Amino acid sequence: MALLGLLAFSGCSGVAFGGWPSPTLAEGTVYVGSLQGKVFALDPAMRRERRFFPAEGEWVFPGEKKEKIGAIYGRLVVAGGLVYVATDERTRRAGKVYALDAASGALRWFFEVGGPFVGTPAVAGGKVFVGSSDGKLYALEASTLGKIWEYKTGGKIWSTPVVQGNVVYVGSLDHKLYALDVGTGKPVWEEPFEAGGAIASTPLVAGDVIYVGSFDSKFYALSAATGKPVWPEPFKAGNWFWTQALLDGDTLYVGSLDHKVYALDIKDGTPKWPQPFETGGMVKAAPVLASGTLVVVSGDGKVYGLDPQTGRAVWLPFDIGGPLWAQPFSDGQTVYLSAGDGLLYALSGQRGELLWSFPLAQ
Amino acid sequence: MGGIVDIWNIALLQPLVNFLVILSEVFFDNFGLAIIVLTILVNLVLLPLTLKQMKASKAMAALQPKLKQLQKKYPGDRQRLSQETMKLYKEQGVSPMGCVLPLLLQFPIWIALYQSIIKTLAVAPEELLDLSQRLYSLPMIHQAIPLGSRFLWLDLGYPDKFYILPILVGASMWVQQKMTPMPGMEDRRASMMQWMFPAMFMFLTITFPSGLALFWIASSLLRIGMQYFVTGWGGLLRPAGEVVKAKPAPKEEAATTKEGITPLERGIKSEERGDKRKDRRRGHRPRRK
Repeated sequence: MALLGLLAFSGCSGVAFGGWPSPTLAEGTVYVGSLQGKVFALDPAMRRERRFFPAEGEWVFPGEKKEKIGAIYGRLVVAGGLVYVATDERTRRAGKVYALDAASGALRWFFEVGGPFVGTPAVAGGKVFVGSSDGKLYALEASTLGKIWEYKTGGKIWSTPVVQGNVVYVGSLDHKLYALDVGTGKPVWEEPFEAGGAIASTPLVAGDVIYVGSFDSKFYALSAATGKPVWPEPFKAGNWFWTQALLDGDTLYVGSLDHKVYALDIKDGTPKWPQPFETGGMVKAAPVLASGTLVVVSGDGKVYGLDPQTGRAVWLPFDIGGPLWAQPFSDGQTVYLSAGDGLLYALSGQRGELLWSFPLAQ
Repeated sequence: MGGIVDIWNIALLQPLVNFLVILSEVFFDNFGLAIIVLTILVNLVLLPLTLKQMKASKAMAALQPKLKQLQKKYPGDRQRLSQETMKLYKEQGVSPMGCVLPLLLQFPIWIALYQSIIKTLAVAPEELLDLSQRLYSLPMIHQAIPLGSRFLWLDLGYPDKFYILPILVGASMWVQQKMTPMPGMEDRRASMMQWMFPAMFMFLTITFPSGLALFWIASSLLRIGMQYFVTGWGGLLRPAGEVVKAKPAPKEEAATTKEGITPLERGIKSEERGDKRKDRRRGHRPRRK
């Protein structure tokens, strides 16, 4: 009996995980998933006025109270009047991509595979690209979610694909970064780039250089044309890189699971701040810029506002309490973030003040 | 509480997690083999304690007929029964704690091993995040993550969809339970325990990751081997209700004397003689049995 108690205590009871759904803002509406397997479309003005949910134009999917979809680990993507949601249906060892009507939340299409989706779908040129834990990158018709091609990698794909021109770049837990032709799914590089650890972070493509971090604790700059390293040496942190970097001017801002945020020179990866900014927890999400402030969320449950030039705090951290793994979204002034406590927060980038919050456990 | 958790993590859990990752890397990126090898190694480390506990259980089981005799002899006198029982234990060099203490000492290790398998499996992204904070700063360890979860027909992070593992877990645990003497337990209760635990773990295996089931099967098979070494097939080949008989041998257990009786029997007999003398002095006739 004691052993049974310990088994339950250790969290291995078969209960589905909540994920880390990230909010997105499109055409004045905030789209966000909840830890309970629901998708919300919210009007920020209505939420600020604390109107009864759902106000006009707002919806929740699935509408039935007892129905839910799998865990959402990525961002919701809005394109062509549809909202794309990729889910982890772990109890069924499956992953599902939903295409919902952006105006009404009605289900239009879905696509299911035998491996959970952890990354965010990328939509470009009438196609949806999404990587699955079954190791495959799928290219789907954006309008119907019909499969166009698939490409098998040697590990799970938890990274979000990035499309630049005719090439889609995606990292895999097999330690490799792949560059594939968007039309055919054929490799573009002679060899995929191989890091010393798994690649779960989303590549950042800027011009002809790709910036990506790995579980070998290194952050790489690669030629987009060949996949060969550009910097003399990759930047080395104290733990894994899981997040995408943020590029502003000639500075890359990137967080690491060593609890720190780094500012790196885009030319050679040398640190720009006298010392990295240290938080109290793992930095799993990319920083965002709002009102000139670099906003960083951390696993310690705090939101930090930093001066991008110096890396010093410009306001007192906003303490949410629950761990912050989900990628925040900035509209330039306001930062939207969903937290482990099940709430969606809207904070002012200038002062780190709470503008409004909304419980996603409806 | 935080201090205890820290000690637990640093002294037990973290070394086991890192060792599992290294084993997996050494054994061809095969986490299934790593689980089996670690289970064997931990059992080897704990072997002295395990054998001590098994031998103590066996000795206790052999003592049961004599204990029953004492219970019959002193039906209402609990204090005397307790005194005589302790005396018997002392004479035979047996202690009930000998059965329990080694088991208690092993328990934290087993829990840590169980937890380390769960932590290292890291099926969900949240679990992989947690794992990142438990790994030592050795490139070899970080390169190995995530571990290959394929083993035979299994994905170690998920339950066995063919239900073969639950059957193997249930069967191996039943055999192990059946071979293990349960001193001091009523036959009915012992029989219930022999079914209850295997059945319970069998049902757990249906929903738990197969990596854990693999650990349970490997542990059960190793304990079956060790139990066979100490007691033979024991209760597995003995009809239910039959009393465990001590094998002649280990000196601390039951060395026979010139008269062909064990110290245990001699102790009881001398006790009986002493009681008869006392009874005669009190003018009582010894009761016939």
